Amino acid sequence: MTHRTPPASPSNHRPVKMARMSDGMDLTDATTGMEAIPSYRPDAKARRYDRQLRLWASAGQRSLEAARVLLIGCDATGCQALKNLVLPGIAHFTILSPRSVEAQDVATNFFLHPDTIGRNIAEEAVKLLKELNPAVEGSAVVKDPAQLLQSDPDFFSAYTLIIASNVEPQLEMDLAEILWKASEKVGGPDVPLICIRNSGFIGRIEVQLREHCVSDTHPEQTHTLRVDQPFPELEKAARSLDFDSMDSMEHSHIPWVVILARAVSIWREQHGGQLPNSDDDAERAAFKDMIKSWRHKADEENFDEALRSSYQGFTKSELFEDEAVVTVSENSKNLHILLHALKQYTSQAPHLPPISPTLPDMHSSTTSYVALQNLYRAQFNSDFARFKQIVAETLGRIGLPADAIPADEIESFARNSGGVQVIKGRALKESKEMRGLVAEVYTNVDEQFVDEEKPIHLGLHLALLAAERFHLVTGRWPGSPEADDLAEENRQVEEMALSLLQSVVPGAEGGPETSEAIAEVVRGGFSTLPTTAAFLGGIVAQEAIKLVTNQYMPLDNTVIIDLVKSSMEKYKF
Amino acid sequence: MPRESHTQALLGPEVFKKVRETPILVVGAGGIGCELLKNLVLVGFANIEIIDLDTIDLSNLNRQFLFRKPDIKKSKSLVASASARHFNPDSGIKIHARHGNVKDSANDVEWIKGFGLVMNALDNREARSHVNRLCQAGGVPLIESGTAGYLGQVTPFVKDKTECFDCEPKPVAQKTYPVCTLRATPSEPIHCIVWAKSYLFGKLFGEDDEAGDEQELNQAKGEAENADEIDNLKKEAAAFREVRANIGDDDGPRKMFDKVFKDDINRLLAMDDLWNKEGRVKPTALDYEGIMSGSFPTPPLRAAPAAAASAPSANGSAATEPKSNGAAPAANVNSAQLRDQRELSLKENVELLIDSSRRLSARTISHPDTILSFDKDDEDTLDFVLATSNLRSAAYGIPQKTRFQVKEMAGNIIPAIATTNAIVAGFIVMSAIRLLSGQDEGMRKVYLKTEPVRPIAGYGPNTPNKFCGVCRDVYIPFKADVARVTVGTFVEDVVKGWLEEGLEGKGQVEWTVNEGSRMLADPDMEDLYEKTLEVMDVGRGKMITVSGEIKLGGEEEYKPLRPVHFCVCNPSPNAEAPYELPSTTPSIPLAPVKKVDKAPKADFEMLDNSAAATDGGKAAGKKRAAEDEPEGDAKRRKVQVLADDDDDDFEILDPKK
Ligand SMILES: [Zn+2]
Repeated sequence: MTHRTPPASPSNHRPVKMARMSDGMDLTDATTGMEAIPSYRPDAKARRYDRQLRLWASAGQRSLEAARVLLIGCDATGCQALKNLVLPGIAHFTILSPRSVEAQDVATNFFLHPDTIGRNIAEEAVKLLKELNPAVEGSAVVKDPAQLLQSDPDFFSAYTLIIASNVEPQLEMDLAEILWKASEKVGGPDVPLICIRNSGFIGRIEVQLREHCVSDTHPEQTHTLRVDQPFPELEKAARSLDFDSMDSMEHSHIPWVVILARAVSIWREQHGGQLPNSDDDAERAAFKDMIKSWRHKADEENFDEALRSSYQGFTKSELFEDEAVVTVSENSKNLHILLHALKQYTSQAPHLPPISPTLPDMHSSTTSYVALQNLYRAQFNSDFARFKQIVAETLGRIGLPADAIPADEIESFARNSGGVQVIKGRALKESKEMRGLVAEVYTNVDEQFVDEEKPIHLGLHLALLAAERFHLVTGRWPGSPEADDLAEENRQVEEMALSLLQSVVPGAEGGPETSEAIAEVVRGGFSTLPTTAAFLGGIVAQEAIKLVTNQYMPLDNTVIIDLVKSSMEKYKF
Repeated sequence: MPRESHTQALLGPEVFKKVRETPILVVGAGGIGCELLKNLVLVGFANIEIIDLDTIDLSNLNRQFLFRKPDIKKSKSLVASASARHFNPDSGIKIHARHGNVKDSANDVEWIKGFGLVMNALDNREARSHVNRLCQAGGVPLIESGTAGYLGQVTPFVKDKTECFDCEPKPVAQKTYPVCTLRATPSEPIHCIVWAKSYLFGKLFGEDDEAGDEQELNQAKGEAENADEIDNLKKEAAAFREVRANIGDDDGPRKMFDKVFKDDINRLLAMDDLWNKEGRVKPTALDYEGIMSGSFPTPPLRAAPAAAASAPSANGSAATEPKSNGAAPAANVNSAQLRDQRELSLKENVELLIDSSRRLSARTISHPDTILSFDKDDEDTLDFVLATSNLRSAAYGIPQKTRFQVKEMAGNIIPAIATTNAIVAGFIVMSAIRLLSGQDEGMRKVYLKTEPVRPIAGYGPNTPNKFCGVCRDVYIPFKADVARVTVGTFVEDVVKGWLEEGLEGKGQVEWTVNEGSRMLADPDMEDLYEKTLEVMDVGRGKMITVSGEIKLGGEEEYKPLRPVHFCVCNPSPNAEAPYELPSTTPSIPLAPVKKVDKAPKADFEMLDNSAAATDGGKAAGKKRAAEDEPEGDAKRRKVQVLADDDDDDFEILDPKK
């Protein structure tokens, strides 16, 4: 039933666009342009940021505009990352570097002018980066990071986020350790650290953070539909339908949420109020079989959807416990206060977060979709009113004004409360040891690698780790221009990789993937290709924005990128 | 110090030579284009042409980093190349920047053949298809790209080796609204917005298309659920003409208000059978004096939007609350921070309506030859749509929308950020390097997604679709002095005399010759034989399409051949003959036979891809729209609305992977 016959496309002869008011116009017309901006129109800032506001909303933008970012390692990749943070409008960035611009820097870094060779690199890069957005502050600190780490460790914890781009392995480890320690005590600064390592076409990003709250993960399923504990109106609606007497059209358009809610309701009735146990294969199968038995035909898509989502019927909505959430004060982050309120909210029946006010798209007739939508909307309104009340009480209790958290932030939190997630990170040192994961992966090669790309990425990681060890020993990178004997260096790195691997998996062999990976990494000589820099700079800034805005799931904690194959793999080491 | 020295070592001398020497075309200097140009320059590409017809807008500056505030309103391509050059002044890199449309006739096949590689950084499907066809005709590899929010995609197209941009039909990420819902019984904010921008705005400030109106309404008459309703709409159209003529008067906007928000609504209210359908909610006529004095009570919101149920494809939920593609939650009303996220009062809306109508009519009076059209970045037009859609919503008890929201819903706005563009542009250059080094990996497509486990994945390449009407056809450069070539010469000499000679199996052949959708000749039509191509407006940049059917010896039926496109180019400088043909004739295969299930229905419909924009092409709600339309509604009259393209980046091409 498609109907789509656009007649001869009118856009071919679209009228010429007329000059706008602020453009060069006659004097008479131009007078309108001189009036003050009317109150309903966005100001210049909102217009500059319009396209991103539609992605992370004003709450995200506010966080961004409060962020202070430090870059250590003023190379092409680091500067590209900063560019991507200055454009959307962070508050401030600092580049920390004592060294001078060299010819190689100018060759790869867009933010260094060719005439600047010999001058301080941080100062020169700050100059050009600042031009990208007049609202952003930038400063250069001409000091040695290693010394500063000794003399003034607090310097580092004053930032919202730190990017270390291709810094020496020793410095990277020391910095990571200091930050990790600082975040140990409750309420201590928990500054995320993003480390970049890059050799030719190969790149790796590691993220160290102790704890990170995502207030909105924006998952595919954004919706807390509470199918596992249907609210009374939903349950009633789901139970009142007579599936058998429906005609096939009607039957194939029952929304899956209704099918699932009905299955849950019936199951609980038959099992003393219990949900199917998610660890019990037999129960899970029985639950699905019940849904399958209601089908009229094998190809009803709504039933497929219900079966695909059946895990929602046996996964209980979970909330988390965390010190920063349990005890809030006037110094708490908004998000922690909201989570604290949410915790209180769920301590009352039905012990669940506010329901989602919107439904995902699903296979159904418009009538039943709209009816279902109305049920959810009404429920959200009543949930939200209660939640707002609790937030207000909480704010009052800790001595903050009622508007300390903007209304839209509360609402968007409530709307997405199902998308709230907390990530517990790992110390960089620990993840570089990657014991658990490597052991598992290397011993179960056959089962694990259905997908042939994985071992290459792991090999690359191993190669980079071995090269870092090489640097610790020799003070320079393998394959760098000073190398006399590339084959010999390659061999040394192979040896280090093997001993690394065997320290985790005794007796393991590297395999051809690892040798190939090492050759590629050494060939790259730890130099930066402009495209790799642009690419990594994009990924790093993307992660930084996720961390700063508390939106979207960050890549926790290691990402390995192979631009020879245009592929990328994430591991939690 | 040349910037590329590092790269030279990594790429090796052979590939690096290709990088330096291959002429590259970049189409588009927007979000991806800026990043791309920077990467190309840094890697050492030394022979770059960049073309874009757009100018710089404030909303570009959050990602198009080659532009600064003083550059606003200037040409994107010119400023981008100047900025890129500034960063690398002594490297011998040539950037030829052109402010213009890639679809101009001068940008023909001969032009495209001058490049070794083309990179699209475009913002609309039409231009993408155009460049795709040119590249197929010229045999030039094309790297296509697009971003939408956090999503991105890079797809190389290499003639005969991979699919082309048009091999797979693109999902129609558009929404449809029955015309009667829009004009008489709206139930969702989007209905009022589409009405305001596509109907009301056009009636008052757009092209005055009286004949079109008549035809459209007469045609609709037979199909409407209610003939009175159509008569009514017809009267409304006539009344518009009068209002339009006087809109520049002092009381013009006021009269327009009364007509649209009082008289028209009262007229609809008089039609009882329009309102006794289940779920329909009667509107309230608005009263100007009452609103201005504060005595007019805002009509109550309809209880629940259950009325939407009676409108077959009213996917209001999807349109008003875009969620997929990571779009931010719909902006909230009470944000203290942003003034365009504040709801206007009824009175403010009326004032805005009057004021924006004045501004618009002043423009039509001072520039009578320029027809206005809705443009989300044109504040006057957006103000008008904001005010009128909200007033209509108020009359129908539909919730109000803020300026921020209306802009997004009406303007096909695609969220766009620097990071995604940077990542995508990095991939484009990687693909380019690999294509130049002859590696098959250069043909892989790459997708960037929001998946936390594997956010980037490579696929393919896919092979060409044998049914594709773009890359499977035959293209022939036709250098001609169009003033000296007649249609008759073309058919008799070029087609029958030359092209037909090359056919392998001998048999009876019948040819049809078209330019676009215009027929120039077929076996029964020789009327235009005397006309020159110039007279027929078949000049440079156009394609003459020759479709043949062949009956081979011993066979009963004619079978279609693949179409052959003659790409009209300028004649060689010293050519004496009126036209030049390649030395060998092409082989023309038979077209593959495709089973056709059902002929598509020749209905019109209201298409609006404003919602698709924030969907990132996922077209939420499409499923319902397509399937639950009862038979009767499908026949209902629908009108097409063309959505504007966004100003730089583009919807994701095919996010299904
Ligand atoms: Zn094709």
